[in-house]
Amino acid sequence: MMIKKPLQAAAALVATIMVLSGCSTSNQTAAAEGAPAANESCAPGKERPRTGDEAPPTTKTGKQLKIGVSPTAMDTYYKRVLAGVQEEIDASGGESAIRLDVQAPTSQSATEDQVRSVESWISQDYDAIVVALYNESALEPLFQKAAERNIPVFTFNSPIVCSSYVVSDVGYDQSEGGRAQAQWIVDHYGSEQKNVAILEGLPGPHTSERMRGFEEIMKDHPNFKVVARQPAGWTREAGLTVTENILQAHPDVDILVGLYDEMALGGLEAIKAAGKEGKVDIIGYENIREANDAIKSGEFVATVDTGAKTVGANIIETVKSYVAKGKTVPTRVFNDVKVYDKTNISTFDPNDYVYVPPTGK
Amino acid sequence: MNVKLAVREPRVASIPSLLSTSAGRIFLVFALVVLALGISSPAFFTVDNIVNVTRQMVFISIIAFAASFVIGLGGIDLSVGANVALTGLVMADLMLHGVNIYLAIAIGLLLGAFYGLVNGLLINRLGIAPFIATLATMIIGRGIIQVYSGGIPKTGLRFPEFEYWGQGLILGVPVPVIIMVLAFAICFYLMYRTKFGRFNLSIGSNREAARLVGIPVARIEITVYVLTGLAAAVSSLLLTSRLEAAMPEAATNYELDVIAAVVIGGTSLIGGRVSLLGTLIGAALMAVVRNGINLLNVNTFWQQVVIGSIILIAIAYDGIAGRRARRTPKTVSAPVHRELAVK
Repeated sequence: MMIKKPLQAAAALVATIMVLSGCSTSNQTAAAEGAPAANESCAPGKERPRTGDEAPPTTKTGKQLKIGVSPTAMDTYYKRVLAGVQEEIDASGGESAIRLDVQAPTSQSATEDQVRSVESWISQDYDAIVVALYNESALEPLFQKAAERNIPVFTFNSPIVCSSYVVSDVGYDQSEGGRAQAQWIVDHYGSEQKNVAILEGLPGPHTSERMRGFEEIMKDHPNFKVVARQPAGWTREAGLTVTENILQAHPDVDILVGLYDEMALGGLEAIKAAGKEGKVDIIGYENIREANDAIKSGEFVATVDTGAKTVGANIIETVKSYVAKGKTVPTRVFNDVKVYDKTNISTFDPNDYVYVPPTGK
Repeated sequence: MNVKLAVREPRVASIPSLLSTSAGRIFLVFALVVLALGISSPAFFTVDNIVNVTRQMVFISIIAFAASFVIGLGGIDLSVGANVALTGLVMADLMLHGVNIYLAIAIGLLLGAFYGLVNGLLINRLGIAPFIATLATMIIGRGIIQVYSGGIPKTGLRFPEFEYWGQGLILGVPVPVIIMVLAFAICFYLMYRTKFGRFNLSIGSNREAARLVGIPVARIEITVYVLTGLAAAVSSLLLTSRLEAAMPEAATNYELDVIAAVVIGGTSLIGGRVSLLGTLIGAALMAVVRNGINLLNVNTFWQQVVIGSIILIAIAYDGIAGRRARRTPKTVSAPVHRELAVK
């Protein structure tokens, strides 16, 4: 009797595993395409129309502008954006012209921290608020409140911005980053038969937008077979483990695509440990310093630079045009992305990684 | 001081006796999951993949062995993830500043142990509940990491003497796996073959009684937190060496994975009942499930659901089968020390 029942339970367990693994693989594509748009005018990849809900442009001159900037975290990427912000402020007259306040939440998903920062800026009547969105809907009521107090709100590094209270979304088209990765693959390998594995980020708009662009190019090139696509949490740690596992199931992977360099660098460690160095080509995303070095040493074949520092400069420029010069600005201020590989990596200026103080100081 | 507790001799395992312990029941679940994955994915039962999974479970299981002492004593340690990230950054920083590799590692291990000591003192000397004390030191630790690193990883740790720990092989076996086996042997010996281990369990089952019979409760309680801190630092050494980089966000949620591994293994969160073998199988179960999910290319959105469900099924099964086993008269023995009986 003691053996009988445990075996029943065990059978149920096995069945559960089989069902879960079986049915979820077949649902893969359907679920991945579902990046829900909040309304018709805000489909991914379409420019948002101006509604008039946002705070109007102003001509505040001769006074110090107070700008609050809230990234979703303080990491390598945002450090680079902020370097661009600071350089543009320096070029616009330094601290006497623009006072910058940066508040990063303690973790990527700590939206409440962002809410607190933005609330305090609204109550102190800042001249502009700039937010990188992790969770748009959580901040929507605050954007409305800011607009009602005539404080213009801008966003950056936010894949899908639907709020009508946002004046401008500064950044780059995330799907363009995915398209750039895919286009490089197509240009480089042509009609060769290649197996591709993809390290995605956490499920969410960043991942779905990049993948949308990637698939848009890949659908016309069936010679590239995506044998695995798995989330690796944006981190090197998970990139390593997930790649190790993918290589077990698919030892024939030719190309590893990471939707962020950190994950791709983890993948590199896994590939090295499996003795497949040079046999799997790695394509990263973001052109962080180590990825840049990896291209120079031949460990990566390519990465996409999304112009982090340009984003920073564009933020200040857009805010200045709108708040100080009273000009209208587009709802999207996007810069281009650029692919680096061994042919052009030497043209990259390493100063792009750091804050360069104004000369003569 | 001379407390002696009766421990029965190991028995020859038959299937019913295997199922009369938590470790045995979890092993059955583990074996079935392994079997199911082996049938679903041809890549699962390859030597490479088995080495692979074993290497992946190391980081969690080393901490989980030590945390079994903490949990066996009725405590908990939520700060291990922060400890891993902090000691990793400090080791990396020292090495990048030209400090001797072994000295840097030693300082890292001491720092990890010190982190544990702080936990132990807060809990034992100030009487703060373990959950609260280690929650606070976790938050403080993660904060210090942000201030200290500025959110920037410390990379480029390509020193052969350092890479060896996470990437080296001894007779074809990965060094981290050897360290895990050693850690298990040491913890097993401490838990079941020394007074320290018996005292630890006695405190977990009845703290007041343990104190009255003269068990040095304070010393043991502080020691187990130091041990866990040290284990976190060892895990950090292996992880940092494996990645050749120390990341500020490293080891996120390790504390939860550690607790899950210990609890899946049948150790009681109330204390007094520890199954180290169960902890090992618990850590292996989680690693195998994650590996299987990658091998089978299970959809992104389903992964968490699958992992959570398997944890629940494993624990629920252990609970139900365990209650049934306890109701069967012939297997009833001194309840507190049943786990000691089966090795």
